[in-house]
Amino acid sequence: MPPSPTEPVFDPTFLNARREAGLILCAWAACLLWTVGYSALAGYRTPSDPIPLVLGMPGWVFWGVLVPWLAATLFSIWFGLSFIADDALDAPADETASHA
Amino acid sequence: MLEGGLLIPPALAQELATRSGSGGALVVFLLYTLLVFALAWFAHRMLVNRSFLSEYFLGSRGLGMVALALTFGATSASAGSFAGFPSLIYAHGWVLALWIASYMIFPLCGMGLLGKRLNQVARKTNAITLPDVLRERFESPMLALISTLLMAFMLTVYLIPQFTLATLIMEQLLGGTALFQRAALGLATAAGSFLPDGVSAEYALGLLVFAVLVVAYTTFGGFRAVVWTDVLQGFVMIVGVLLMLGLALTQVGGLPAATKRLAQMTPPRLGSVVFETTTPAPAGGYRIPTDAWFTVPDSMSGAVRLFRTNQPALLTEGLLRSDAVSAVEITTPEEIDHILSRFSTGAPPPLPAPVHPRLLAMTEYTYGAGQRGVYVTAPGPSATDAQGFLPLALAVSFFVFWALSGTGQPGNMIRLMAFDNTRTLKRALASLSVYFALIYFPLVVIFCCARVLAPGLDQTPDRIMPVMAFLLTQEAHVPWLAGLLIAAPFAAAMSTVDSFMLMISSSVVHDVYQHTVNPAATERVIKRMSYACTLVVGIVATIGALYPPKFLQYLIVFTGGGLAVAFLGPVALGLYWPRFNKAGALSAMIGGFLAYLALYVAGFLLYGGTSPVRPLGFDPLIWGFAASLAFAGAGTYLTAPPPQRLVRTFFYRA
Repeated sequence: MPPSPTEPVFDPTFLNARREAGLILCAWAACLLWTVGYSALAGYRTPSDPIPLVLGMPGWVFWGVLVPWLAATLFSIWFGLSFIADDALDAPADETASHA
Repeated sequence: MLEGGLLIPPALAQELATRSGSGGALVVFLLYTLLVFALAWFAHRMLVNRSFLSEYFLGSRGLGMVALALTFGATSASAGSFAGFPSLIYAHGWVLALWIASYMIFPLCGMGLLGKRLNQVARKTNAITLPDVLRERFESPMLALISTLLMAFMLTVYLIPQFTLATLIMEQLLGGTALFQRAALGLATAAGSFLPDGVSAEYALGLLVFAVLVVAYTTFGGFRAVVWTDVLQGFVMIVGVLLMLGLALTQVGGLPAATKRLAQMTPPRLGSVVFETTTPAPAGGYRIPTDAWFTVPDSMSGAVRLFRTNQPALLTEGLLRSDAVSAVEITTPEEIDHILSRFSTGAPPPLPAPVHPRLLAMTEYTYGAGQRGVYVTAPGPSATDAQGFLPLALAVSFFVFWALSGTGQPGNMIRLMAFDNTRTLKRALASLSVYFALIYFPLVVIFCCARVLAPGLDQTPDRIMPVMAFLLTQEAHVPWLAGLLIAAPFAAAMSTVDSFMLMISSSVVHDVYQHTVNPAATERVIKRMSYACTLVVGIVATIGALYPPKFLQYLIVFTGGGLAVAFLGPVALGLYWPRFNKAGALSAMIGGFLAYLALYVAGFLLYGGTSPVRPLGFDPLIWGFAASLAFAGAGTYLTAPPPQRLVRTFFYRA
């Protein structure tokens, strides 16, 4: 049901920014779980055990840090270029552009 | 061979020469300086016919994509990124990849969480500074004043170690040039008696050059000059890192070779040595330089023990022994064989004939001693901590720390108030993610290689960046390139210093003077105040750095964390939570900061040092931020909601 003419409506820039912030926090939590979780399982080990190498680095660094880093970078590029709404900043309310 | 009046064996002198600056470095540095001043001059011209405050402190809110991405990146990457971080990688190995891993998500958090809303609110309220935003959002001059004072104090403290680190880098960059040495000698002659104890003329000269350079262009050009130079510095940093990466990987024989060598290594023994003679030193004395290798036969087995000095030792005329200097003993047999094989005679260059070393206490690492593989596994070796360098709880802490700390820095927030439109933010965020990926992970690779290429610097690892720059370029027969590589950390320090100086100046002039002392001040008065204040801040930081504080890295961590704890909660909740009110914001800022401070004070009282108390192993920043959120909730719900008028202004359509 559309709001009545007197009922205030949230600023779309605020709503979009809040939605984007929510996804950022989820991405941050996912990176934390992947990186620290995988490293805890594979990186914290008896030093004398043989260390598998991947592309010249310890396997746990490759899978636990480099791969999530690349994934986070790709996600950030997608997030920046496609997900963030093209909101107008200097003119509130009616001039605010619709979500990209 | 005589150098500075002291006897040095030729081979040692040659090795010393490769560690010092070169004429090429000086040329690169001069070119860089000219560019910085040219940018400041152009920026100063932009001040004409524009609103002074908005232009001088915020670049008229006109930052484009490249400027926003690189000024954000360059300001975030302080001198610590290029001095402290490499030294940690060198000392602890691959585990530093996990320590810094939060930078994978930092661009997204730092720009994406607050960027759009903060910029919108700043425009809506015509805010020029962060305290401006807080004052208008909460209608609280008190909150603005507290945040101004907190920011000015903490940023000034933060500036001092940045000045110190930049000066140390400058000494490495220019220390070997004849011009610098002559100027230092002149300074020592003219003003040596005025220098504080323990401060060399070289350090004082380096500090003076750095301070004049950075204060001049910041004062003259304002925010736009800072941003443009940040862009230049951002390019210098990434070019420097990528060049070093290529050189390091080539010279180490590829990353697999480097990691396999690291996996073999056991941590060194750290201690000290005195150099003695049987007869008093002759006129001119003896000097054993920093990084000199020497061997001592093992008294039990007769095997060769290999050591490296990490400080110069002096035996002046008439003395029988030097002061104790720090030394490192290599403990891996394969490493000892490899290092010795690099000398043409199969042994280090001999010490001057009558001089011989006498070892003092050599201590084992607390975690990792005698264990192979510690440099390629977590938690990494530690000379002091029995749990290793990065226990799991601390790894979690740092993943939270970098993201929160970076997002909550006022220096980053002010940049988010200055971009021109949302498309700029979007593209800058994407670009910065790539930029950070190309800077921070390669740094880990480079300085893991450094452990193999430049062993035995474990007592002074802060030098590893310039040492590697000179080593790599000498080996590649391109010594002039060292200037560019060294310019990268220098640029990082400079880009942080200029931004913070301007923030302190804007806080004092705009938030204190204009809002509290003299609201009717004319633009001319404000302009003069701004120039004067930027100048004074620079002078205060210079004087502070003339008495270099101990524990630089701890000071940086403490002030950086304190700022994040104080500002992130009030700003983020103020932007996204309509119910959040003045009492909540004040409680969050003061309560969070005090909780953070309390853990450091408790650490000082309990341990007598700089280490804070870490309940459950988590860093004080995490507890401080948790306290900030708790105080925010309590303060908000225990007091009346904010006026509807205010909520409508910031959260609803007009």
